[in-house]
Amino acid sequence: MSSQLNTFRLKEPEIKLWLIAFAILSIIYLPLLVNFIWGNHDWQPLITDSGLSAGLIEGRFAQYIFLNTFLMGKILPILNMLLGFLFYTLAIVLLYTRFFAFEIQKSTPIIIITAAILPYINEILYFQFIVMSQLTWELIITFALLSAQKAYLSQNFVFYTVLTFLFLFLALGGYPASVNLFVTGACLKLVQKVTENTSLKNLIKQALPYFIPLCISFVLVYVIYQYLQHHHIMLNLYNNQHLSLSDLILKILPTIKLSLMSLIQPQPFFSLSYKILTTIIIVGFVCLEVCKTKNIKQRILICLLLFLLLLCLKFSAWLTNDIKGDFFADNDPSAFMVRTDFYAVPCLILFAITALTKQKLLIKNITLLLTVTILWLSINADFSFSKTHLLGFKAETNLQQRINARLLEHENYNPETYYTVVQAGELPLRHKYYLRKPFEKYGLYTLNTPYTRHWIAFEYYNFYEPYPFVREGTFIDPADITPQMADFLSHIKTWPDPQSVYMDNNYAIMALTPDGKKLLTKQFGNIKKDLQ
Amino acid sequence: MKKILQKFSLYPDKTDIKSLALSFLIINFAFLYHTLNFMWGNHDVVFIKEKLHLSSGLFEGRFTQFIPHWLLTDGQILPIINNFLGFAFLTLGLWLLAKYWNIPKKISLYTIFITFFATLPYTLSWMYFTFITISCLLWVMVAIFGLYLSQYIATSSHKLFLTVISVLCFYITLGGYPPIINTFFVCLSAKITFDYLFENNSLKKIFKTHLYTLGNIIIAAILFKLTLHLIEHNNVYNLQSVPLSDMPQKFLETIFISLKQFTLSLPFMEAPYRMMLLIMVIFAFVGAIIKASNLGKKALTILFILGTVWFASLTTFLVVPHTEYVARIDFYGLAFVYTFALALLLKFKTPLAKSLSLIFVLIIIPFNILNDYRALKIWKQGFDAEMQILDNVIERIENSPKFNPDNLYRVYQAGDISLRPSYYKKDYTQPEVFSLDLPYFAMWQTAPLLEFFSPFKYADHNTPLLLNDITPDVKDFIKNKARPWPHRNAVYVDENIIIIILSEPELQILKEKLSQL
Repeated sequence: MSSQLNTFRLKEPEIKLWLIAFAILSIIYLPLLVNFIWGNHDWQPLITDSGLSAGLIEGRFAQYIFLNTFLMGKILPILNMLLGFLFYTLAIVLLYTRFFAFEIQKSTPIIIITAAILPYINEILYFQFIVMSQLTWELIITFALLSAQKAYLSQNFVFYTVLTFLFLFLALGGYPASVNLFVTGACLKLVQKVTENTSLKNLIKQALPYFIPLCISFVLVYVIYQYLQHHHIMLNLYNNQHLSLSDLILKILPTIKLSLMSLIQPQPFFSLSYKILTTIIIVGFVCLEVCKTKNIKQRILICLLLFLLLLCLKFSAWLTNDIKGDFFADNDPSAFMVRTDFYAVPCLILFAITALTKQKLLIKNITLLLTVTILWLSINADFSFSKTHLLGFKAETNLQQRINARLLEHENYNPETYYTVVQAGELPLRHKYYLRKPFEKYGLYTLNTPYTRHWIAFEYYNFYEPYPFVREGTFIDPADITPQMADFLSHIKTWPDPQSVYMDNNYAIMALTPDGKKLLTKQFGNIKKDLQ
Repeated sequence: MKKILQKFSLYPDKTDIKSLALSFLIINFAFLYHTLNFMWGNHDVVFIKEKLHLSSGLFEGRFTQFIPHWLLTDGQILPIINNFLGFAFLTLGLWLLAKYWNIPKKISLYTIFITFFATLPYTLSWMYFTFITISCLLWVMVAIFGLYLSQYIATSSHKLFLTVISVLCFYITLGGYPPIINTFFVCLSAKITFDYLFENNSLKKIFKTHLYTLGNIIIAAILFKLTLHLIEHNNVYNLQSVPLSDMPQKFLETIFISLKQFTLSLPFMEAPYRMMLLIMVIFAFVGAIIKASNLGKKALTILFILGTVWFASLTTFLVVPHTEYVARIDFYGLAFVYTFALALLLKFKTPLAKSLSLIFVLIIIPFNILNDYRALKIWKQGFDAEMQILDNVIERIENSPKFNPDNLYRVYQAGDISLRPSYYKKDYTQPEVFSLDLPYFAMWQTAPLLEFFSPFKYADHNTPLLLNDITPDVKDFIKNKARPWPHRNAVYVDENIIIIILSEPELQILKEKLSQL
């Protein structure tokens, strides 16, 4: 027992690596640690606790386990993010030292730090209510990988396989896309094994402790989703759409194509030069693995695994279905979601850089030079994200303050009334503080989404007010349309025009953007037609 | 210097330094959100903008209150440093207490002991107002230093020197914040209990040793009272002592209060948390009684324990105003009783006691830190929300057609809005003003607050509304038009005055005053 415990105990160099990575990550996100700001779904959870069942609405039955375990279900400044960083950096260190079993060298801290601060983490930091759990799944999946690795050659094959399943099931219940780390890590491990001259039979044996828990977990998660949907606990949302088996087979090649595209597609905070540098590292690693062995069978096997790796990188995108014409399919397609890449790409980069630094001095030096450059670009990108996040939040909350002030000063405002606020359009302002570079696409949560969502207006309109004045709901009952409201809707102007705000005893209506105004006018036109 | 420190066992060795450093780090982490976000309370507005003067506390008889600020920061309230210095003094003070109470010397035990006390949410009550954070945390250190030195007087050849220093320590702290007297007696009474139970000292020896401490405290208290007679103060509410004739009745009341205080729940110290603390206290006290070898000793131990608990309410016994269950007073009393209980558990040598103390600290210290963070998050949200109202009020004033930034306006604010409670959703039995209820945008700070972020200087800080200001127009506004914030008629501006209506009850009071004119 004690010898087993000793195996699990962290060694001093590992602790040092962990603390260094944790400290650097904390320093990089110091602006966000000091200034407690939050995303558009956080307003209400900031005041009320998030119970264990709060994630069931999207099927995430394990989402709030850690928040409840460590912080009593409360979103607390500093602690929320720091605990996440602590677990996430431990995951990166364990992947390096235990799972891939790389030797600790002088360059290791640089590699670990680079993997830890890759800008993929930025999107995770937007919502406060999930930041800790999202970062912790990385550690839980690492535990799953470690126990799967331990299953092979162990006398307790079943025990470790069950353990792998439990960890994986927990993580999938919290955030299904965290599976990307599991499959990417497993695939890279198999590549590593092939280069160590493992026979095909042994390779299959080694793959089983990964494959079996993966299948069982998904079947179970699917059953739970069906149950929750059947009982109307879970909503049918854009992020829980799934495909049939035949569709999945048909989707393999398109997903691999998207996986290749996303390696070079610039996105906000991932400039073209950044994408090129990481692609060079990945391509270098691929060439290295293919050329490493002269055995043709092994080469074919490695090629197949690398092909599979492309699918693994976008595993969650492969399994889900983007609904055509849907807002999220156009603005946040699953193959380009930074928050799902967070679980796959850092692991690949960590593996690729380390593999390359083990080569000849020239390759090693070039790799280190590229790594330092990626590190520097990541630092810049992370600080740039913090800057836009902070300034965008400030600008939008100031705007909200002005909107509230205008409503509360309105001649029809009555402090004893609750209003239905119909806010036509949203004014996201983060992008104002970011200079888009050529070819950049997407980046919904890293840059574009506003801090307020019109369908939960009551949460943020009431947040800073001494007396709540907005009720839930954002729809105008046609029966409530008075001649005055009809007149306003016919001649509506956009913010900040004095004619952009309407208030009566029941409704507060405003058009924040021309698009919002257009939509509102169109809807009103339809109602008018119906009434006629 | 080294020799003197060594003589009094105060020269820190590696264990001391490591435990001090570790404790200081943990304490700072517990309150990091406050340290990094420079928040201040409703008495701080002018002091933040300008500075504290040595005489700033005289009006309420606190003649030494601002000496630390004056010496350390030239009277300025500075971000980060304010908390760092306060926590450094508190850490040192608790380290001295660990030595005074002879806590077994180990890095882990010292660290647990220090961080347990310092992270208790009672410390928060000294962080709402930034102008007293340094001094009120420093008083703990100075008071315990006085107690620590006093214990050596009986055996020292420098009796006079030690007496003068310790009297000075007690006197300075009483002059800074009189409820520190709770700390003197709780810590002394606990020390007597420890000497009796763990050092096996005879009652005579204990009496001989600690008589000097008692004497020094009494001398300091007399000097404090004399000083209050000498300085000019405003006879404010918190300087009124209980007359001798009322003391027997108050004594009995205080016994009840000192026991009831364990059962009340406060904001950020809800019932389950308080229950956990109470269970720890019960375990420790029962353990102490079991440890006493015979019936007589058990009876005396009970008496010492009850005495320690009662002393936690000493201020309540001594003064007229109601100070019971107020967190900032309990910081100097009840918090030390909890620490006394922890110290008992740490000093017991049985494996059960060690396991219990480990379980308690592993639960309570993380909960302390979580409660601190919960409080600080809510403080910040309340602060931001109230500052938004202030912004909006200023905007309405500046938008008013009659507003002229070159005029000097007499300002009247009817009521205030406290928004920290809006973000707090738990139940409690005892309200706590400093931790939750006090507003930032307070009615007695309107003039300096209006100008705090303004480019103009338009508020008269010294003159209230004058009779001449109540023109027929003003009368009509108050009687017929005024409505509380956020109504558009919540702000009135003319050539001479600004009226801000923030609450309905205060508006009614204003109307009543008007009708009496």
